[in-house]
Amino acid sequence: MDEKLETYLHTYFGYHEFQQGQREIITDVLKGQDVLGVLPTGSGKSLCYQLPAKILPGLTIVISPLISLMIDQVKQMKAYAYKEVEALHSFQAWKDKQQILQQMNEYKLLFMSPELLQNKEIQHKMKQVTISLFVIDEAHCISQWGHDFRPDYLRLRNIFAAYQESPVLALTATASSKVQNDIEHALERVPMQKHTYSIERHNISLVVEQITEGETEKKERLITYLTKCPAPTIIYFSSRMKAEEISSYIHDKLPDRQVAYYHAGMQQEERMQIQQQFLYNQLDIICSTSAFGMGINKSNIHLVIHYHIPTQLESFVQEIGRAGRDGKPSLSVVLYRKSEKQIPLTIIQNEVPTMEEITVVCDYLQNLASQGESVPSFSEELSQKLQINEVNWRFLMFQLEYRKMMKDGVLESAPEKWEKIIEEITTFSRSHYLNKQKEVWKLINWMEGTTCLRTSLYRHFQEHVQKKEKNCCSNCGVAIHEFADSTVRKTTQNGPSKNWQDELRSLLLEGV
Amino acid sequence: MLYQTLLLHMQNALAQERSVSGAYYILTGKQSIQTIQDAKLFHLESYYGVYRSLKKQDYMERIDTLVDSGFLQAVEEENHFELTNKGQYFLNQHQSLLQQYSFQGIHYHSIDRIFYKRLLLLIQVWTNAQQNNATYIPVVDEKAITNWVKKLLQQLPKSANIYLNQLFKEIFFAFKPLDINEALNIWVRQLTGYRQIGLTKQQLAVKFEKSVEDIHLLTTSVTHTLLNQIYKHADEFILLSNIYTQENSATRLTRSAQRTADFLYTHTLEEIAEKRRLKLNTIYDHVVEISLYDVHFPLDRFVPLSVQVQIEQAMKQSGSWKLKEIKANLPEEIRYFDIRLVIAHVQTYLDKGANRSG
Repeated sequence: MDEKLETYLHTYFGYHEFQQGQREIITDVLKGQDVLGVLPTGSGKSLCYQLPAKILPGLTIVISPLISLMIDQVKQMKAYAYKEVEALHSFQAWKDKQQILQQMNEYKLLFMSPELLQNKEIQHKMKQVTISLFVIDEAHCISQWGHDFRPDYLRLRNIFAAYQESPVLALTATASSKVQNDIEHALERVPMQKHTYSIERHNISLVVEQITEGETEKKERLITYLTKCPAPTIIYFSSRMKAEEISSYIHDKLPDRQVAYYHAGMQQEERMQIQQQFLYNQLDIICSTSAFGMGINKSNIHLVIHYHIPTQLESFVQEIGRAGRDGKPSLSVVLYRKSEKQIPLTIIQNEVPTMEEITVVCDYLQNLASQGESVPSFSEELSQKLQINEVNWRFLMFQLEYRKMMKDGVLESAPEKWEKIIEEITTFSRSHYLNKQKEVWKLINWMEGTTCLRTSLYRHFQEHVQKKEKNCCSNCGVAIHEFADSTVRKTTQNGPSKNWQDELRSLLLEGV
Repeated sequence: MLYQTLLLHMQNALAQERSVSGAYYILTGKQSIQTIQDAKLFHLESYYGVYRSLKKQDYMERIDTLVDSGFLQAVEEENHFELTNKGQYFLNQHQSLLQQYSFQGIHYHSIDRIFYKRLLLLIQVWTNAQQNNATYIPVVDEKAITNWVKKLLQQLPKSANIYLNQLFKEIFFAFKPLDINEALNIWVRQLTGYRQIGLTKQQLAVKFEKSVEDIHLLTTSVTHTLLNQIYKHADEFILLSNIYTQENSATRLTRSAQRTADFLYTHTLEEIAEKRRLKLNTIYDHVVEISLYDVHFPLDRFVPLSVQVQIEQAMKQSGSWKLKEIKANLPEEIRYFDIRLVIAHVQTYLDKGANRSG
């Protein structure tokens, strides 16, 4: 079998050997075992299902949380001649969805967003094909303590229950043991075969720079880093506006560098263009919200800067993990202002409904129930009317379902039950919020710590952290200038702009 | 600059007779008979559908800016605007821009995007094939476009560099006589080749120090110019003609109107409405739309000559194209439908000599 696997690997993907963990996970999956794989970002997680999907006789369904990520992945796979793949998601036109459903048995791999798996028609179609494997990508989303909790993920077990014969493969890049336990239990597939690998990235040096004199100093420090370590760079922001603003600031300050911004507010096509430009080194700096990087496989990113911090250590580890996939020395820099603690704290506040919001929604639903109406789906109008965002609406819907106040859109009508439920959910939300707050504080404490940043970061995820002799972290000492990347071209585009004739000629006729 | 000039030009042309949404509907190519008729009436048909992705909010914000900076002012009627002296002066200064850049929205609004995307994808496919690279992400992922390109490629079996050479010659030949270097540069830089990804409109806006709207309009204008060249000299643009096939010419009519047109000479309007399970008013809309495109439209069949004369007089009397005002000057039994048909007829008649001169 082992040698055969290598043959498959070479035939389908052109690689000669597996990366760490891939063979172990794939072997167990092919044996029909339920597997939980924790592999660092950039270690080829997706191959762990792409290869079995090719080998297994039936269909492999991959549940993925982010639609844009899903679309990117399908495009990339198709680009690499993996054609029997499609994605089903709620942004698709009805017609396209139908077409994919009709041809379901022609695919080897189907990506799906978790909410679509709840769709009765899709479930019906699934019954008509053989499903060889279920994969849960970004499996930490199942855990309420994972940094990206998605209530929809918790409903998966009901689906899987009907497919006891099909193994489940849960994959994630970051999961503390608490989260690992959660994943196993939430899926009701205990025990899962666990394969966890160190997520410590030895080639990434960690710098936390304390900013004491406000925004101006922060911007100046940013420019200093970009100047001292010219390299393909991602800069993370927590707001779209700031990402745009700083992108144009860098454009003005460093005219010989190519910079662009990237966020979920842009059109799909534009986002793809920016990603590809970055991939082909037409751009060297991307100012981005956390939407960036999940789908792209660029190996020569050597600098990741956090202009704003995320809300969890796990997101942080995942974001810096986009650096140095080629194994070369890379640098992570956090520009940290103590006063900006408020930013992640405010963000998490918006991710959990307040008592007021809970009451408004429950009263509204109770009223619908008394008129015998069912639950509406989320819309812009509903959001306006009830003053609630989509994250919180989904959170509440899940809580109500979980607490048996609704089933298949039909609501409980007994008023006394509603009174009780408002209290229950409020209590739960409060504790959920406090947990999220703890996670923010872990990150803050890490940044404000004075001991080795490498040890104090990774000990949250694993017992043993390997020592790094040179350029470990800013508390142990890092020589910044050693991270300058000579391959970054001080762009030719600074020279005289080509006219359309030359531009067209070089585009169409270069190499002809 | 171009966008601002165009907005002022359109407000000016609509001469307070339409609310501020009127120009928006024309720019975004709203498929309603009122909009198509307005575009014709006020001689704005070149701009019909030239900016289909324009968001209402962004449009309104720009109008607000024009008001705030004293180019436009509100008139008594709600949501109606007129040009201030400053606005008029600006328009006079920059009107030439609108002559410099040619738009032919009424002809190309339904094909320009498709043509452009086909071309975009073909260039990417050929330049990559030429380098023996099969691993790239297509810049266009609409099924309709990718399927079409796949089919075309099957009909073109020669090696990619032959087509690239031909394409270069044709585009070069079409662009060479034009005196709009900057717009051509902007157009070309959006193309994607082998390991060379086209710039986004936003990136071009920064690079050329223009608004995103201007970049969009300049791009559209270049595409229209190219399409017009191909239309006029199909024999010289062999490859490009293939990309601009005639299969889309019928879409000058809305799809639904086209189906009504199929029945028009064999059924009464009432029968069509029943057959198609549509309201009679919808069929009226279709008929008016059809009449706009068909210079041989048998008006007498729908509106008796005597009524036509009455309506034309009422139009002169009210000195306006506004339906309500015209109707007020006519006997009760004359329908809006009759009036709209006559207006369309007058307009089509006026346009007869000026066919296709965007």
